[in-house]
Amino acid sequence: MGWIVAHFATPVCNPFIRSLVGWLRPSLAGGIRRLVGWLVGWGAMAITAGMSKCVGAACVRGVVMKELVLGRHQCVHTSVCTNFYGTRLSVRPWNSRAVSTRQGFNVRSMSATGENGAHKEPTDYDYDLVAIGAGSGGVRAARFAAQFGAKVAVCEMPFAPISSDEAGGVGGTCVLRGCVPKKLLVYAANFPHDFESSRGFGWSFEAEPKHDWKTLITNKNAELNRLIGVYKSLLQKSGVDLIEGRGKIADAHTVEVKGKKITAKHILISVGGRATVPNIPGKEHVITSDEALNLPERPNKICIVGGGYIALEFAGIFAGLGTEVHVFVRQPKVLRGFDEEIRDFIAAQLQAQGIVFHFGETPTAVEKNNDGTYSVVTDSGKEVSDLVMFATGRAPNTKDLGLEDAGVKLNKQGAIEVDSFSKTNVENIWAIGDVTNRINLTPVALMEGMAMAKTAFGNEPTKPDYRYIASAVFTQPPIATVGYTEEAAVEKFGDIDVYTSTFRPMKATLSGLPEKTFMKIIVDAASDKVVGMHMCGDETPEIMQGFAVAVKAGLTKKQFDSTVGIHPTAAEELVTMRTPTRKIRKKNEESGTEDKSQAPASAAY
Amino acid sequence: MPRTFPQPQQEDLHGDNGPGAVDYEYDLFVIGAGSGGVRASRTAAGFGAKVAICELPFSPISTEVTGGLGGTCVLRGCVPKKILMYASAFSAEFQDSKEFGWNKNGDITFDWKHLIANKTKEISRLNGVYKKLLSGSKVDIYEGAAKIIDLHTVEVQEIGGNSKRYSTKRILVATGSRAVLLDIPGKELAITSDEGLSLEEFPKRVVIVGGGYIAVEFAGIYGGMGADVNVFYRKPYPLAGFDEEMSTHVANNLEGRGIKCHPHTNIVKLEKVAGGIKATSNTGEEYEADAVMFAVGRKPTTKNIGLENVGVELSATGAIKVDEYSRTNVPSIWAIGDVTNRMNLTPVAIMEAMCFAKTEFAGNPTKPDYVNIASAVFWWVLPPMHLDKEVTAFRFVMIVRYSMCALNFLEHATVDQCMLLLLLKNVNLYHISVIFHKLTLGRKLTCDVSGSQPPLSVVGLTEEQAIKRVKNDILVYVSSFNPMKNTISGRNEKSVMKIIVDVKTDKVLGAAVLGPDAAEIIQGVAIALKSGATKAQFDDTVGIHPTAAEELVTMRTATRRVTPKGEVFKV
Repeated sequence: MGWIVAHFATPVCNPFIRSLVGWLRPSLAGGIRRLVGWLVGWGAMAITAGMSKCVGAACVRGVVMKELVLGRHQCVHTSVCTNFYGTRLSVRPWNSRAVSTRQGFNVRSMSATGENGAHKEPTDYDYDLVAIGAGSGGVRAARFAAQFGAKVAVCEMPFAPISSDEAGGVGGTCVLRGCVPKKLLVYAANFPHDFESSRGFGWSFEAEPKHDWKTLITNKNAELNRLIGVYKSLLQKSGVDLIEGRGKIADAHTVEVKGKKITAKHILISVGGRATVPNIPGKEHVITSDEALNLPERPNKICIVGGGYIALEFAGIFAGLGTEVHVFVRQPKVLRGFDEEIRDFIAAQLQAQGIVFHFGETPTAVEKNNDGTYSVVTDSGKEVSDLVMFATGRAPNTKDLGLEDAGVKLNKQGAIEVDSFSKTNVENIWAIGDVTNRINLTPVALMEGMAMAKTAFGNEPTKPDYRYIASAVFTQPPIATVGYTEEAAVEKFGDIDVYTSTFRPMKATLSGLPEKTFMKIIVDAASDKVVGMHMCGDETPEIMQGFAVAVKAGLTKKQFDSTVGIHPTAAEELVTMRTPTRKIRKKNEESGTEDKSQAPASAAY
Repeated sequence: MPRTFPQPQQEDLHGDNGPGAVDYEYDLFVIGAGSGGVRASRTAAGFGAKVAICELPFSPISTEVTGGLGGTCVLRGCVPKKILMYASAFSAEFQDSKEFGWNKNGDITFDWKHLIANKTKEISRLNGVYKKLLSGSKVDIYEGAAKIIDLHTVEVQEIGGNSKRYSTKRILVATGSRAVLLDIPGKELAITSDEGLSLEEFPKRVVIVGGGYIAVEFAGIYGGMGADVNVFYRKPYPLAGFDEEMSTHVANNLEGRGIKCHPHTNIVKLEKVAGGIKATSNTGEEYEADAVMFAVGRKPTTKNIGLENVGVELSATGAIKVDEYSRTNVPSIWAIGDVTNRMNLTPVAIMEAMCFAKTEFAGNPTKPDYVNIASAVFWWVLPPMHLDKEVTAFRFVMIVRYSMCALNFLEHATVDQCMLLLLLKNVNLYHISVIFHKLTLGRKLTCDVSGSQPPLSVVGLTEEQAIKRVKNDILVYVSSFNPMKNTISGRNEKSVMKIIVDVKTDKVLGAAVLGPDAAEIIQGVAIALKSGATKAQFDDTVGIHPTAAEELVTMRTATRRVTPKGEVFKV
């Protein structure tokens, strides 16, 4: 309700008055009804004025009037709103529209139709909510909605390791074709590093350890099957009906699965995204991450096209298990969008492991050779390998979903357009997760799912908060990042202090391996708040989580410094960085010149 | 050199400033070049002081005549311990790799001597790094045994027997501490952690006496390397003082890794027998071992440094008594680190050193900020937050005074505030307790890590402490889960995470993590807790998927609610 405060903080509020006029000009019957409600509301306000903790929407009107008369404002907190007709009233659309358009009240949504909410009133619909797609977001939204008392169904396609128009599986990309299987493979690929390290610690092997790809894939698939079972039972325990089959929207309130029509008050689209391959000759010869996680055998040499995190993670997996890896990156650097120093650092680390990068090379074709190998053709030559994998992007699964029939709007990239509450342009159709192409991460889809359920069924309008979301890339060594990159921070805050530290992890001192850890903290000079952290090194994703809490909570560098380190850990470095490596000052606002003053890095001891 | 003492009258006691001041060879003479001593001398030198430091010659095992630049942490503590822990953790990695497809045909062997040689090489390197750091800061290094002769004179006895005296304006004692042995028959057969890190032969059978973090760490180290380990401790759980629930999990994990725990048991006698040492427990059972390690505590090193020559006061436990600026009762002598037995952690010694140097050489009186890192000890001696009606205001103030002054944990201003408060008429005990509660809670955090395998790390209050100290009900969030790696490796070892929240304020009072990378995970959490983060702020943070740490921000439902009386309710 912060906007109310903001709204009335300005003395004369034209949009507000306009909206008030709009509000007092409804159809006759409804108008009288509302007028009565308004009067009662004002009366009630007088009664409840002293205990302003949680007042109903009707009282909000009272406050509104009081504001006009008395010319001062009062913050009103609304969680569960009951108007004076005894039915539940959701303030969400009213509030959200007001926020997004700043045009005042949305009269239609103000009416006490009770169209939202998981209340028990007889409806003609089969379900309160039908979610299409049982990935991380869909399952979370379904379970939460069910917890709020809604009758929920989720439809999902049958399981197959490789996704297609007919195959998917409960659990979705993260569990079946993303985070989970990938990390399991990363674990496997990390062991040679352990074997190598262990020698310096006194361990020796009679015979070189050999990797058996089939064992790994078999065990991985067994684990995935177990997880599918876990997800199914989670849904079942929450009382959510699982419908197997491809869900398609027939109209705004109908989902069709295998020819059967299911009606729903709300529809949630959480169908995710899929890996895409650019339209070049020979694209049928290439695989994507889906197949790479489920290969019958490990290639001896692989060409990976793409410089994003998926490309790098797979490069690390294959290289770790003994495959010769070539990575083709169109840009001059890997990991576009990440902090520049991290981009350089990780590339150097991966190159040291023997991964070959072809920077600035864009494949123009993929050819199949007679001996069963494939050639990646670029402007500067040809690279022959056993397998070609494209990690060139993912696209939302919006095709053939019936979105056109329901009139759901898509953006230019083909993602579903949603408002800040994950609602599409159709009143009762929602979309979350990768299909909306906001931030395509599992925990973000979970957050969106939870917020959607709270908004639609918990009478608690909740917007997902996209500020300071930490994420990790599971390369060897892994990367973890939260907040602004140095470049973005300069843009946003102007004056920043940058603290960096590069050190040899303690384990490497005995193993003798050429490993390094890099850590970086970006501080807004004006507020002393930590606005960005970037690190690359062993365990950095685990290290980052606690720091993400601190950064999200808006803590200052001073608060970091006053925390005593845990010795000996890598993480203690982050609370012992005393001297900025550089201070960047926009001395002259008009000319925008940057003053990069270098200072020596803090001593290691 | 401008000097500002917080209490200027001390300046007069010295009479060594201004015209007619005696010329000393050094502004500061530091005895002991461990973490604290090195930091103090470097920082002081950085402020322009002329500094000398004296340390015993290097040896992996500390004695009256050996030590080494770097001190306990670098030579006989944190660093070598962590190296051995890394070495021992590999065996579990090898086991785990099997189900990930790694076939290791043939034997995997472990060579203890190779490890110890490499470890000694590394700590020798660090020893050299410290030497370089000191000489780079223009600090004079003397090798030998230092002894305080009088208020401004230190004598250094070199290995050859030559001794030389140096005059100095100030003396800083940073001699640290040493492991102690239990006084039982045959104790000369036992070793301590010093030797445990440098044994010539790998001990195939080990008896460890003690249940503290050092005992648990060494049990994990030897166990991981394939030794048969028996651990004996008096308490029902290892790691007394840590969260009890977490301690039970640690005991389970130790047992799960083949280490035999003997709670409620003492070792009462050691005898030499053919092929080893026979240890007899108070229950009459006998255990044969190649090594018997005592991990039963450490004692400040205050002998043979001439403290008695100048009358430096020691506490009952043998530690040097200091005030909050690390000053001893002797005006020209200061002490920091383990020798003062305040909080015996490397980062704390470093903090004390920096504060000392700032106070004495930069004209910037600075107190070590124990308020933010008070040790578990603080909580053991602090009287319960709950004030019975019978407790008079006077008694309360006395208790507060005692707690604060005796332990130097709170600034004096706090006591004064409490006193002032009492002078107001309409103030009752409840108000005082609330204020005291506010002043203390949420600001005092202890961060502690035990390097058991997998490690346990905690920050803030344990559940037991929270129940005792907090006025409100607490919510306890516990999550016990199978780490992702174990789903394939088949290792049967759960990770446990725990968060303790004050129901009324929503503040997170304590957090504990048991599992791989626990120590790395807790550092960031420590910042959040120290800054008074609420559970809502934890919940607001988006997880990093897939990590173990994300569990800490995704615990939605409390496991139980506990009242200050200890009543437990399911939530």
